[in-house]
Amino acid sequence: MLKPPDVRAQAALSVRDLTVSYGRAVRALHEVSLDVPQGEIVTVLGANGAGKTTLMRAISGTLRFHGGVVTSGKVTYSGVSLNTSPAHRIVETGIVQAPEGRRVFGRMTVEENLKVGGFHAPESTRKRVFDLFPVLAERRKQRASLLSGGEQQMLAMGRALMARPKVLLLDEPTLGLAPLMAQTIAKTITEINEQGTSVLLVEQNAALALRLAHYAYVLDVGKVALRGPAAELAASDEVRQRYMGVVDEQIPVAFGTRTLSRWEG
Amino acid sequence: MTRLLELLINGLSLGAVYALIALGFVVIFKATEVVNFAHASLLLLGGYVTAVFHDDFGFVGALAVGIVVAAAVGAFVEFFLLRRAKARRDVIGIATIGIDIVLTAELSRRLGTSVLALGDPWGNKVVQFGGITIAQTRIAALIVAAVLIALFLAAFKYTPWGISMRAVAEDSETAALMGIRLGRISMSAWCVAGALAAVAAVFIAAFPTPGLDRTTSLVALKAFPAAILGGLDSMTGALVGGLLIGLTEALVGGYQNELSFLGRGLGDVAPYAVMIVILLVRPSGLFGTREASRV
Repeated sequence: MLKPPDVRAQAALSVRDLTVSYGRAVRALHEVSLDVPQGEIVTVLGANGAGKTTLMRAISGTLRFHGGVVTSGKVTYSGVSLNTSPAHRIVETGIVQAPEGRRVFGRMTVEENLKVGGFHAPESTRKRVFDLFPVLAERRKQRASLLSGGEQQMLAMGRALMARPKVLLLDEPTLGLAPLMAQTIAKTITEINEQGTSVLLVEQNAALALRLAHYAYVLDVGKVALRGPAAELAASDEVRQRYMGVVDEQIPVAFGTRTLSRWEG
Repeated sequence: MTRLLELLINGLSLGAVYALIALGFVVIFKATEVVNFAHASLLLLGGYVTAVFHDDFGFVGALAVGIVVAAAVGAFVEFFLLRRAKARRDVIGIATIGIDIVLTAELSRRLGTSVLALGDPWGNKVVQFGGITIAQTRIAALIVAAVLIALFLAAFKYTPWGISMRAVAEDSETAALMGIRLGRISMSAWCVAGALAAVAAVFIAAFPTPGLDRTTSLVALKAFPAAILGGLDSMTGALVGGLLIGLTEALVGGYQNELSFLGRGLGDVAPYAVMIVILLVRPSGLFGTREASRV
């Protein structure tokens, strides 16, 4: 596997040797390093419990809500350390997260949800969000809890975009969505990126994420297990088998061909 | 009939004042999930400051000082207790009992046995129409409380502050992710609660009550059942609860001769009795959201 130099060109957001623990015993991340260069989509893949969400929390400054602490390493944006910054300062810096599970404010209207994202956002930003997600414009007076799952995901992304992020963090944006809706979201992510926003995308749907991303990292039990250009990872057998669920009939799986047979004792 | 009407108007007026106090409870609970047991002493403080300064600054000036002082002490509690303590929210709620004791003890010491006038412009004047006699203070209380509540609700619905407050109440972590400063929201809630309490103090101590004395905070405590029976996390609940308690108290107090078989002083007990009955039927209050997760 091709291993590019440790620091990639003009990294906007950079994570270096980050170790995160919850309490004294649980170490969720172990010396994780990754970069999100200006204008790229970078994806982080991994199974449940690999530390993807913890990584997001560490970047957006919300570890403290879950009793987590960064024990070593650092997160920087354009050279400025964000380790000790409170969440609102990180948003001001230009790094905004649309959290896992959408987390829209269900008792508030679509309009109000967007306002929370950016109270003083200029009209052009609002227009951009409504252009990306026309359904939000149609439903702006509705309570967010009445939206469908896909629409809530759009609202969560639109809300994050209201802060005009330079880096958009997306945690499992297609989780629990119908395949067609997942494709729509994927298309929008590309669109957002083409408008100049860098994206850090955490996904379980590896096939979809690798198609969108320029570069990919695979987390396994809190460590970076694999990394490389998304196209290369998508082509590698290991990723195909472990994260994309592709079983190639021609190439036998490493354990050999064991077949099940009826036990006849 | 006139007696009933008088009692109803007095009850509404009293209820509106309770609603102001209950609103303070609810704002703090929504923004910070802390039940503020020091609320009654904040009210006493606001009233005391108003009473002390009304000779020098006039009533309005003194009230302004009272409001500022109560709001500042609220902010102080938020800043030095809530932000510093890494304890659970219910533990902080218990700590506010301590603050209440300290503040009430100091104010009681200063007040001694005296009864202070607040110098409000209405005095003991009354208004008569159609055979009904109502104290001007009661009408003033109703109007002032209604205006303040309307202003507050409008701010809560339309301003960035109000929208942020609702976002934090619904999901504080996500609100933080969107760039809302939780500390500011929490502090502003305490300030608003303190300010509302200071205004309420005026109408609790005004005619027909002789003035502000150390039992005033006990009266304020009746807003607590108002907030609870409405549902601690509901603004509507605070308003309805306040009015319900006010009306109950006025009616039971007014007809206590007819209710003498239940003993004297029933007006003081009635708010709690109403609260218990309502909580038996609806454990999370009239408008409260059910909390399934909390044990």
